[in-house]
Amino acid sequence: MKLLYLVIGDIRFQIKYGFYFLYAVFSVLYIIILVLLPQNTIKTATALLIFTDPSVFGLIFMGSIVQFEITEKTFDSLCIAPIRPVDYLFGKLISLSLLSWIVGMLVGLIAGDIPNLFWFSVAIIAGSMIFSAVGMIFAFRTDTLNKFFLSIVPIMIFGMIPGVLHLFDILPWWMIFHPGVAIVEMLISGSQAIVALIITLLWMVLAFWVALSTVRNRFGREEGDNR
Amino acid sequence: MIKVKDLAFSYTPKPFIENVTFEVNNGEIFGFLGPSGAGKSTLQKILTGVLRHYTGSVSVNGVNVKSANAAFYEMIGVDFEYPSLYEKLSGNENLIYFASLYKNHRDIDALIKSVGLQFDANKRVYEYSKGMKSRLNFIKALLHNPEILFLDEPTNGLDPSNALMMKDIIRLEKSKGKTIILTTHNMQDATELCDRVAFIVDGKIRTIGTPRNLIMSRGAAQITYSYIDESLEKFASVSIDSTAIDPSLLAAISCNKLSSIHSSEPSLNDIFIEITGRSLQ
Ligand SMILES: Nc1ncnc2c1ncn2[C@@H]1O[C@H](COP(=O)(O)OP(=O)(O)O)[C@@H](O)[C@H]1O
Ligand SMILES: [Mg+2]
Repeated sequence: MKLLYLVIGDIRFQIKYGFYFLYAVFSVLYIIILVLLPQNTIKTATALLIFTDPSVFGLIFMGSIVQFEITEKTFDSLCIAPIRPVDYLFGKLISLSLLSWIVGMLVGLIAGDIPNLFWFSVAIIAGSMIFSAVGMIFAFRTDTLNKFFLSIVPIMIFGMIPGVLHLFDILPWWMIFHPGVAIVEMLISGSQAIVALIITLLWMVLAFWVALSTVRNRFGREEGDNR
Repeated sequence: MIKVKDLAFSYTPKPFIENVTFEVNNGEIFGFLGPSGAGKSTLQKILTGVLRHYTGSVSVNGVNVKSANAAFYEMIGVDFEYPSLYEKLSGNENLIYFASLYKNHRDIDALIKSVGLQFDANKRVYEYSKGMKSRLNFIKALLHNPEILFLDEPTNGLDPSNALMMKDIIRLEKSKGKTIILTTHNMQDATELCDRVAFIVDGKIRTIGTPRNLIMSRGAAQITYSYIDESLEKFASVSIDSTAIDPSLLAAISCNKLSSIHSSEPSLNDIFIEITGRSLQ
């Protein structure tokens, strides 16, 4: 129940702070790009846009949201409110992945080519959650927005490029263990989608675990925490 | 209600908060009085479970604050010394959001009205003045009707009429049986509101007492008076417990020659300086 209110609160925050507006602009842009592209490239282009989008926005949005809460000191009020660090983390992960999913579905259904609705949705949500969790980890470990942006550059490069390359089928099979590659495999509903799902889940657990201990630490709950 | 024993804490390897021991009773307004940098806000952060790397024991309503959980945070309300508000949400939206995190909450409109923000409730917080933000921040701490209130410099930056309004609300909360920890460097507020105050300097408690007793403990009040003697005005002063043996005062009274008379008690600020060797401001 509390999680639901946190999700609602985060969505309200994202609307008021202009994140939905930004996302709407990008959606329109994606749709225009897809409409203009030749028919035989749409499938790859859809996957490319839909893979990079929740990853990049997950990282950047999460980082900005957390930095806003730290600079406006509202994070301090959340620390003395009856919410658990895990609620704080998942409120943001759920609201951001929901937003990514809506945008992905809109773009995909209006202008793109979605091979399989189930795998498509799972891939978007998993991708958004993993990269948002990483965004939260870095946001709490850097003290300014600039440092945050610098710190996520390597994550973007090493997290996303293999996924993009996988769209062109040029990677060795074992690269499926890479989270970006696994997410793309699901997005295109590839033959290894089930293996990719298991791998993705493992990466999710790892990302959530590190993110949660980071949040706990910031909540001052690292010791004697029974929440 | 609150029991602190042998508390020690520091942000750095250098000792800071040390040997802090005190108790706060149920229904009491307890003041932390001390100059800026004394460690008052740090103490509040320890009592509210935000800083947990301390030694010693701290319990609030029977809960060891190192293991403070959701139930604990339902019970306490915290007003930080700085605004802790979403700037792009309206005052009303801020309260609605924070209220949604608690099991129960008070009537938000009534709270807004109690601090005179009813005409600004739908403005975004970034349009608020410093005083308006302070008032919103203050009622945010009252939202869930907590048993224990931690107020860090609540009247700071308020104009006198708003400060008065806030002090009335604090007294009203006390009358409902709430326990209140009031941090301040304003001796006037401390004298008016607190049942007891702790003088804090450099992370240590120097003394604890009721404002009245602290003031009285430091010698009797002085009486200063002036009288007309051979058409010249003369000034004199005498301790209030020695008036019967002051011949010029007695003479002035018996001959109706007093032209002015005042008693002046030391202020809590004077007492603070006397005990700690430091000024409050
Ligand atoms: N987060 C922090 N990290 C390091 N030092 C701090 C921190 N917060 C406060 N201090 C230092 O601790 C001392 C006490 O601060 P504080 O508790 O805010 O005092 P007060 O509220 O009495 O003005 C100050 O010297 C301040 O600089
Ligand atoms: Mg302070």
